[in-house]
Amino acid sequence: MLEVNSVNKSYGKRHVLDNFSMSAEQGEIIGLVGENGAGKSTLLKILATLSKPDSGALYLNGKPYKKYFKEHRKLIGYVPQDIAVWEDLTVIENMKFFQKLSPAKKSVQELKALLNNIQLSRHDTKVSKLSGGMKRKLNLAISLINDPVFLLLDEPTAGIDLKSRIEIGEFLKTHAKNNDTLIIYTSHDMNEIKEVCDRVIVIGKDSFYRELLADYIK
Amino acid sequence: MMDMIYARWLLIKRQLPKILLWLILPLLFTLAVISVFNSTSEDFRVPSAVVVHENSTEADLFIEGLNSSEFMDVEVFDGENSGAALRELEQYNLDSVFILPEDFEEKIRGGQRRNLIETYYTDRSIYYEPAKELAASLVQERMGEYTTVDYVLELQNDFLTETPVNKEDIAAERKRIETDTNLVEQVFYFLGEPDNGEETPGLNPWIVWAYITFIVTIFTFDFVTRETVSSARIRFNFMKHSYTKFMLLTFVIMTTVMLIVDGITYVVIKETLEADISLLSLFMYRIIINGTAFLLASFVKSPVKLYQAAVALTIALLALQLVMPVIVSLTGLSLISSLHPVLMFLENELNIPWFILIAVLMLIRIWRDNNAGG
Ligand SMILES: Nc1ncnc2c1ncn2[C@@H]1O[C@H](COP(=O)(O)OP(=O)(O)O)[C@@H](O)[C@H]1O
Ligand SMILES: [Mg+2]
Repeated sequence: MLEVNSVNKSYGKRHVLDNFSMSAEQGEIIGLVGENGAGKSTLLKILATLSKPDSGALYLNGKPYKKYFKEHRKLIGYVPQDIAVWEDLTVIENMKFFQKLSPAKKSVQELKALLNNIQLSRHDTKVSKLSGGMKRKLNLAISLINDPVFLLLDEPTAGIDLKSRIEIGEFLKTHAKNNDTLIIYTSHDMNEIKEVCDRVIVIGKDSFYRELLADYIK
Repeated sequence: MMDMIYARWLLIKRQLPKILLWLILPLLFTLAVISVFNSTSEDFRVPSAVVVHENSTEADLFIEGLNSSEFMDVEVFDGENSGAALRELEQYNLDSVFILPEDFEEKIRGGQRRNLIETYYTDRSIYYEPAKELAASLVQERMGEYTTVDYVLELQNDFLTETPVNKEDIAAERKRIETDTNLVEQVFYFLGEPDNGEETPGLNPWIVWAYITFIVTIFTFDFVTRETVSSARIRFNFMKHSYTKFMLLTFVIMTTVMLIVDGITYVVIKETLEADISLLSLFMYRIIINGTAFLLASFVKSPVKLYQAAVALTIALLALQLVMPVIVSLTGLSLISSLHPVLMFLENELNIPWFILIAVLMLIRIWRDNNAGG
């Protein structure tokens, strides 16, 4: 369970998050929308313990981030907006690399099963030879190695083909249901948001997304 | 620990051929440069002449001594042709002329060193000074021998009269010992030491090695730059080992491997080129350049910038070494030269100031990384 109370964040004079609050339950999929520069990535980084808010408090399962952030990191899966994989390594080598350093133990069989689950079958291909969609899938798969109960995805479907996009969406839905995972993710695709998410949060002052959203959720 | 080593292996294994090449390059480069240098300096021998008025063993030894310098080509003229030798000198066909007197052998035996050899040179003589010093040391050597012989004979006269030994036997024995201990060769080496400036006959292989190793080591660490700027680095926040820990392990492994290669290099250069260096200062030099390379590689934003920095730093160090004598004589502070890492290494000193500097910078880096994020 996640609780965010009046979080503020500025970069210099630019106020990015202004008294932002929200709460969410396990098993929920929440979509974050907003124009570019609205602060979606900033919020996800704060939720992922990678950045500190200027003020406000966050709790995961009732435990404050301030004190328990190291502990929380074991429960969190974070999928960065920039694809965070080793380009020189093959798909399975990337999985092995991060498995070795991760606090969780997984066999190569389990890693392969995870990849197959996400419909990424080219295990022995070097990442630099993969398509954008497959790279995004690997980016997601690595973040699942430690079986996170709280999964944060920053534009996991940006710039990829429709088939991969749908496969990722379907995967997230099944994953949240089967593992009772809390998922928060950002996207610019309203159809996808509508298809995958239980709930949508609009970030930023621009009213465009609010109105668009009102049209979608009749 | 084993997890980290395995992960390190996964991430570096495709770069191994390149890294191995970088590792052996300094030794190969040094051997190549020295062999080219030696072959060109063998071709170039300074022509000079010795005029002999009386054929004697001492005169032959003297000529032999000059000739065994790799930088002199000695032509022998007899007494009547001394004019011809000097004419050659005037026409710059000879660099210098040494005229031995008629009673050369007698004077050597008698220890009369005053005005023993007449020497001639021109305004274009380039090798006169070292040749003169060599000639002087050869004569000194022989006179020293006879003094010893006289001294031993004196002792014999006093204590060992029953077993007479003649002068020639003792001289021969001393010659044998001298050849065994390479005394003559050491005299040459002394003459050829770098403080003689421009006429330096030998190029120290360790200078070549020190510079090529400096630049190549920075190149070798380019993977640190690539990994540090990679977006994959952010994932270390969720791992059980931090990125800093992973990189420190990398540093230790790389340094260990490089020290092993250095050990092999030490043996090869010592055996084939007969150039020695203190193992401890070699070790220290390695630690310091690895620390520099590692810090630099984790600081710059792209491999290209790292290569540029490596070239710039190497040129700066080389230039600094060349102008160091000037700086020292201008400021009067000989201490300045002991801050130059390559000079310190070559002088077999332990580079404590640099070691401390690198260690402090490393600790700052570790401290900053541990406090970032969260
Ligand atoms: N590290 C940073 N330093 C300064 N400004 C930043 C930094 N990160 C983000 N910003 C600024 O904060 C605003 C929100 O950025 P971001 O959270 O990335 O937006 P979004 O993900 O919604 O596109 C932008 O104006 C961006 O320029
Ligand atoms: Mg963003």
